[in-house]
Amino acid sequence: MDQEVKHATVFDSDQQQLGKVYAQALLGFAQQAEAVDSLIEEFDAVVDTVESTPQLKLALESPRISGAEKERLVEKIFGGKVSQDLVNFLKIVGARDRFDCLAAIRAGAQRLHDEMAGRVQATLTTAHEVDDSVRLKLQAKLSTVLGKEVGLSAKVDEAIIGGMVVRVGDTVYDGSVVNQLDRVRAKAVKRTTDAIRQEIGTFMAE
Amino acid sequence: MKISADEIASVIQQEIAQYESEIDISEVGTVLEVGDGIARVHGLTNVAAGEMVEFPGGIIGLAFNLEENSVGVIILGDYLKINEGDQVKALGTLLSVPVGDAVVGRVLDPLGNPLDGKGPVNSSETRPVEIIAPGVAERMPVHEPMQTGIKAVDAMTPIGRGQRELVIGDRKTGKTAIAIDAIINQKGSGVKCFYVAVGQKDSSVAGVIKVLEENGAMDYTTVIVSGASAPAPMQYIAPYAGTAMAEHFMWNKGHCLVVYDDLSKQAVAYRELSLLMRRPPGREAYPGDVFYCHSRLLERSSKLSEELGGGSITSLPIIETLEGEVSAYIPTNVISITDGQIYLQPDLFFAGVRPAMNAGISVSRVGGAAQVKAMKNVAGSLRLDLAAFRELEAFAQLGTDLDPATQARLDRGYRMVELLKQPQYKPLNVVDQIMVIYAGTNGFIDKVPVNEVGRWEAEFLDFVHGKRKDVWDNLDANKNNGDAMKKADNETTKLVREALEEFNQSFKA
Repeated sequence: MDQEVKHATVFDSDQQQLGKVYAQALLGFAQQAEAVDSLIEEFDAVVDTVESTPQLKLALESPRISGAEKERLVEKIFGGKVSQDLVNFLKIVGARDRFDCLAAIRAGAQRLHDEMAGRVQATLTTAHEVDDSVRLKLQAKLSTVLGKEVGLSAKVDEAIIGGMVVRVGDTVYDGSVVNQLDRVRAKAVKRTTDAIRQEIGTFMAE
Repeated sequence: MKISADEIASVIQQEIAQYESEIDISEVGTVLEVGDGIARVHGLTNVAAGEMVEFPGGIIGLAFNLEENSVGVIILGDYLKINEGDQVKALGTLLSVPVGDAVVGRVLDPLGNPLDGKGPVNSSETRPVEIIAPGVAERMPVHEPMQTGIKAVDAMTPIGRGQRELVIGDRKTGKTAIAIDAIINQKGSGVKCFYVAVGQKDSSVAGVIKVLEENGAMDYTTVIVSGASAPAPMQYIAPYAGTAMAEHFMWNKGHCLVVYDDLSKQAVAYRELSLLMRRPPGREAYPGDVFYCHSRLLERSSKLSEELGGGSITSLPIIETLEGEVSAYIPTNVISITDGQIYLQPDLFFAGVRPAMNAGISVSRVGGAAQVKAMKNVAGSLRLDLAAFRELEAFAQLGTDLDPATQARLDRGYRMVELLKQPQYKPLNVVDQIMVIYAGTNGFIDKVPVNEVGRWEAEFLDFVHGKRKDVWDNLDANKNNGDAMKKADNETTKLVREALEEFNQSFKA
């Protein structure tokens, strides 16, 4: 999944869990304020900024900088640029020293947001670039099959030779040529060995 | 032998012609971390516990831990070839192994892959490795004997078909030897044997296979090996795999003998897996369900009812104790699960009493019903007599003068102990066993010097097999008769006594 947490080397299930809790709080608040979409968008931008500025990220994640200092920092950087509600949320994250979970919070918030909106994210993998018309058609088809709005992102991978692979959540619909070839090979090998086992005689050469 | 490529090509051609392309729908996840035979996988949302998963390169794993954010997978194969970020596919099936006549006489790994270099296992049938054991309605009480060919065992702790008899003792006390003798003794009885080696040195397993081959036992035996160098997941599933192979014969009205050598090492492998999976450790750091690990395995040894064909699986689990500590966690667990135990003691072993079975604390809870009647009549009081003898022997060591009656009991005891000794790989027929034990308990060897008892036994058996074959045949025919060897006026008893007297006259000490 594209919006999955980008973990460096270790998957931290604690962070995921915390991210989920904070995301729930953020979305709950946004719902009350009736500004879900705008808040998510702003939050996205904030996380991008933090992720792309390693020094800021280090400062925010550092345990040596106190919570109060972080609150000041957040206010100074984001105050006035994003909504006050989001600044308050970030201050809480800072005060509780949870800036290390920022990516997990974003992933959690996006997933929750999609869930609330009845939306799922799908990834389409093809061997070559496909036309937008094909993509739209596929998107519409998937929406009817899954009964949900589908957000489709495309990827090109020449290794699949042809056909397409669609991944929705953890389910993969694999119609790639490479997969078909693998299956033909496995079936042919099995059939042949079975046949040889049953009647070795017919396979004997003179 | 040459194989024609054209024929093979035509089969493949047919297959391609018939191939229908369909979209493959599968559940996938991503490897987060991997090592020590386990992998942590993100995704696989709908995977079930125990379901097979496939890593790139066809390496198989089993979903072991289902957690909120990840799935713990045990890897049955080379985990060094799996990398972080690899895609894992759920296969939607349970692990199964090849079964049937093709596995007999083979040496296999726990997945059913051959290790003996005799080519692939030609079997079209498979059975799931983990199943629920037969229930109450599908069983019947144990009633047929499973002869081990070992005098001490068959006389004092008889084993019935469908029974689970634990062999327990310290290292180097002859635990494996008992199991091997039992396997060798199944020759010609139609019982299929399975020897599951878990966590053992490959050299010891090679030794066992050699002995089985030399004694012609590999014709009806399957050896399942997961040696000390095999990863923990393989050691953990090996006993289940072996049982699955045996179950095929049981459900087809056959009889099987399964030896698990040994379950302490399997428990250690399971502990390793559980700790790596961060399951909370309990007593001796074993996970809470280590009892279930063994009980669900041993519960699969059963005697099926007549309606289901009456097949059976008899199992001889082996447990190694440390310094005779039977009250450690795993030994007590397995003792409570099994239907009796054969306890082997190091001091007896080093005193030359082999098999080094301690008659006092070895028991068979259900085997009595399955014992050959004549043997039961002969050996009924043997266990208690031997226990009384051991007590008396300790008392006699004080050096006090003994009255003649006590001395006579002591002398009889020394001879009985001598008589129950038996060399390795020399299982005895139950008729032979009955005769020599009858001779011992009824005073026919009281005059034989203690160090000559072995020779007396060998020569007497030669005598009844040669000169008095009629006696032997008569006892063989009547061994299941409730009166045989019970009263002195019984026809069979009379014949045996006659033969013993005749032989004793000619025996020169």
